[in-house]
Amino acid sequence: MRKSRSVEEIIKELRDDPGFSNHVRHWHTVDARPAQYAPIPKQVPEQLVNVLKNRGIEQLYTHQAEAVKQTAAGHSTVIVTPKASGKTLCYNLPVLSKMIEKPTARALYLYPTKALAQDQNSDLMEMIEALEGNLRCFTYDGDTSPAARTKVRDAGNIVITNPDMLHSGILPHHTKWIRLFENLEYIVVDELHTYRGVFGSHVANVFRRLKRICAYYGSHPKWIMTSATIANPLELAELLTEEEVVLIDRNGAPQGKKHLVFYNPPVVNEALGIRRSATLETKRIASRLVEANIQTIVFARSRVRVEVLLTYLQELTRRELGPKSIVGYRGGYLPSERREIERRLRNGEIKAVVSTNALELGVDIGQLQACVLNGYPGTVASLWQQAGRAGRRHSESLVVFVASSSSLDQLVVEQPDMILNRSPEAARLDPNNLIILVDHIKCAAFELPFQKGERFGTVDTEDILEFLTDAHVLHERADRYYWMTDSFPAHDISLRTSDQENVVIVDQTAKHQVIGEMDTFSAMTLLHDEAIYLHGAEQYQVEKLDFEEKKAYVRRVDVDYYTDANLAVELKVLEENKSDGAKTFGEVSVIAMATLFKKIKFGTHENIGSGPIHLPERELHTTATWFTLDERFAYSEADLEDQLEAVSDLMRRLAPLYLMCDTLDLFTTIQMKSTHTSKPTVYLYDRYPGGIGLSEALYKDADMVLEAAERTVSDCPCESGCPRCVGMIGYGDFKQQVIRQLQALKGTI
Amino acid sequence: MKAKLSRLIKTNEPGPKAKVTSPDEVEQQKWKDHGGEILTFEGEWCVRIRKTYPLDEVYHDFKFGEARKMMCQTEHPFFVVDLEPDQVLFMDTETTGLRGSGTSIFLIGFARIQEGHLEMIQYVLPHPAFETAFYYHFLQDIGDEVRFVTYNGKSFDWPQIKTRHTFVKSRVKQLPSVGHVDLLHAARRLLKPRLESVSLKAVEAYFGHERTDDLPGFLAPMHYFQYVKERNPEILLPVLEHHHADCLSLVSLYTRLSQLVTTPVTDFGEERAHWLHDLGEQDQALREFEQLSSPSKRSIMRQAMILKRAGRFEEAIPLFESLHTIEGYVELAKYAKHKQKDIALAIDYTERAMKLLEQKRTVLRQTIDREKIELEHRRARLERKQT
Repeated sequence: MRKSRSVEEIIKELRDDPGFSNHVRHWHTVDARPAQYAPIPKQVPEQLVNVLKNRGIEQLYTHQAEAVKQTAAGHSTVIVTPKASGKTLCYNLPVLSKMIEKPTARALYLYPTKALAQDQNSDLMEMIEALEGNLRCFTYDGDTSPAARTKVRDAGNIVITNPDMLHSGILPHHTKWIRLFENLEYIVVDELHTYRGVFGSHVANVFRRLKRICAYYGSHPKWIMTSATIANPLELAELLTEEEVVLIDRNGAPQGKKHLVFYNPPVVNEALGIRRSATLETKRIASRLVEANIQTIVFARSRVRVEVLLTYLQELTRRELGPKSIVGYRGGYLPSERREIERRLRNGEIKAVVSTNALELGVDIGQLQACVLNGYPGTVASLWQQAGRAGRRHSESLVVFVASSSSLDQLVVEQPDMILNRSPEAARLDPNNLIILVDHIKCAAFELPFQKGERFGTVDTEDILEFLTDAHVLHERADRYYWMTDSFPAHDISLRTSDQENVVIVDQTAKHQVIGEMDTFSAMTLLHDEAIYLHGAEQYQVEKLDFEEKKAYVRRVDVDYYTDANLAVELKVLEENKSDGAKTFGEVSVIAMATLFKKIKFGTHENIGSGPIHLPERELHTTATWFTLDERFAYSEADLEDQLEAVSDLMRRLAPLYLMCDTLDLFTTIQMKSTHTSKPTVYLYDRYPGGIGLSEALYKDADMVLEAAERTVSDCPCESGCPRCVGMIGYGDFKQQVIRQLQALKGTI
Repeated sequence: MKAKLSRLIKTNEPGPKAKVTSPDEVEQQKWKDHGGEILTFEGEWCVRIRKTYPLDEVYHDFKFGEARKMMCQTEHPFFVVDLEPDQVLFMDTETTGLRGSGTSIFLIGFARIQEGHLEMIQYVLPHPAFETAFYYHFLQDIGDEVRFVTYNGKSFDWPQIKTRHTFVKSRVKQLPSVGHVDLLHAARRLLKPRLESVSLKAVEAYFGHERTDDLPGFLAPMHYFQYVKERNPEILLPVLEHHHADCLSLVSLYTRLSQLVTTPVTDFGEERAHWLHDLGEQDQALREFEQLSSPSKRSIMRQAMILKRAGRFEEAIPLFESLHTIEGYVELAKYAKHKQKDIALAIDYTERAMKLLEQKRTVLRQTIDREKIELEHRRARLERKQT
């Protein structure tokens, strides 16, 4: 018979167990915080106050009360809240208050995905029902039946949808939504932090179109946004909406003491530097928690990993009858299955859940006692989101991060203060990326003709309108620009990419299934024949890249190496935008051709084979930040080249930690004698055409990244440099040389 | 040299007139040359082209006048119009695209039967900027209450008109109250089994009127865009012609299809009967079913069901018996149980149905399973009753 223990007891047990604690690289605690309450503001009508009271809510947390007050005062707001702090009330209260006072009022709720939009409904529905009024709330997405659509358009006080549907299903048909647009009071945007990169840049433009249509019908809605903790929520909110926004970030919800444990699996093969499998370690730790009857969530990076861990863990409950108390949760489950899991989690019937990042976003499953992360989820914000799933208001909670052998995981586990001692990444986007902007100006022109001199958001449209007129897409007459083709522009524009020509990735392992998409530029180096493509935590080998048809056929494999393609890059600087001497930000043209690839063994980084790549060259216009090194710090040309390689490698590995992007979003190239600066130069450029703000952010935050790079090198126990720090086997005082270059770039020497 | 010439030589010829013709005027003149009339409104303008035909003119086998006769006479619920014939518009539009608020209508036209003649009117939008004039005159001309005879107009042309009307509604009349006779629906009911496509073109061809040098519909927007750029009406003429033919064709098609459903005996008896049945016209449908010379099993079943519901069991039972189908046996079993009070007979019929089900070959396993369960239940209930 297993013995139940409290979280406090199991934490002590783990601390005292050398088999566990010897591999803990850092044990971080966050102190408990009491709740801060405020009375329900007078702006909330009595009816609604009664509904709250019936649900046992006599007073609000301070941030909820402030959200109500600020919104009532006519401000747009962004509320930054951790998990389980009652964020839905922050927007449901102002919206419902308004509707009680003015029954014709309408609100639009936007969630980043269709699944989330459907998930959010229940709480709001309950409140609406309790109000016993005529308020109606509907979800509008691709699954809404044609019959129901008319009802949603005409009668939905609250319409819940996602940006993609707004873009292609609502705005281009705005004449059918007159009642919504004429009476729109509030736009609620949940999970604001997910609107970054290409997606965010698109959504910012969808919002420009939304505001334009609202203005046409005479409404000027206010925005209520919520975001997870990121470095720049206010900046992001203002960039996305182009409105003045009030930041509400003083969280009044209580929080129990929290333990954050950084666990690095022990080395099993010193010579090859191979560690024990992170998945097995995750399983071991999670089992221990489950056996102690601690309600636990395990995060894995892919669906397959979820299934593997689930199989392991369900062994524990083999003899159980009835519904399993250990379950999986990932995209691909039916909505009804998910609802059932969520319900059983909330009421404690489920002891453990193994999930992909599907549970990272807003789904309400209550709070669990412990959380085990199988690998670094990619961004600090995501790490905090996942860790936030554990943590009850009045008891302690435990989060264990189990590092895999990937270099980013190792960096995080070895230097956790890089994550703990700074604010999370900032979300970056570039609403004025020309390609994205022109796409949406087309959509907007279809929706309503542009007037000469009209601005699109903050953008001057004259040049673009003229360009589109020359291209026979628009026709100008009497200072107005009319849509002049028979196409439906929103149909051809996907919010999830900036490149119209994506390569589709088809998994042939079982049945032909599309598992992803990639822009053609990246496909050259990541999806060439024989490449090992990583999707989540799974490895796939590319069997054939059909560049003409834009399809890559892959098959799941399990190998101990990855591939690294050589890209022959010719980079030309087109324009310098800003510079401080050592570093410069500007626009570049990149002509690239993939030439050959190497197979690199995990752990040892040995080169164990290579092959040619036969693909045509591609040109990319994008933004870049470049750093010029000082040739005086090198003894020879060869030294200098190695230094360039080392700096480039460090920047590329570390930048994602600060920029809230994927390691593949930034590319680097080096020039021994730059055609632009005539000096040895490292370039980092956005891989998306036109750039999406990453290299610009890098220019701004360069010092932080350089600092981290310097520490990575200086803290590494190796003598002259190794693949883990400088990316190669060094010699002599190579580490010192690299450190000197990094310091020079920071301007500290 | 030039200056010198003008200084030295005085000419007697009159100089060029200081008349400046605006591009609008040039274009308007061209429209007039093609028989168009320029209608203006608040500084905007549009073109109206009107033509009349005598009522005894034959088009696609029918005189235009016959359409009026059908309107006044027909009892078929689908073809009945509840307004005066001159409020019935045989209407069609041409648009710049297929969907969305940004798709505009550049050509609306209709044929309507007036006292003594058929009137055919087309309204042309010379530029998207002139939609107010375009809708103002169209709405002014058609009056406050109309019935449209269209081909897919109920779900395409009319919603699109509503969409574009939104943009100009503050300055033009509100939309009339309307009703629809959408001939696409009629064509589907009557011709679907015989034709791969029930496009207007295909239906015309089926009745022996193949269009030869007609403009393919999808090219219409290109012609329009080109016309807007060049302001040359000739570019639009093929579209006008195509559209004109479409409207006139609607008049004849209305006559043809409504005749098909009301003339005593045609090849379309089955389709007619089922359509009436679905429209809820049980008596009419029954008459149709009774007239079929070689009715399908589906028709016999429906005929029998109407009779059964009317309490005419003596007539219904032989029909059910003649079917030898699962549904037929089920009905017989019900009759045996409730009316004849013969449980053994009811069980016998149920078992016959089950035997048929076993022989049935289909990919729809689930449907079969469901039917099987139902039959088994039925038998079980009967057996319980028997004991």
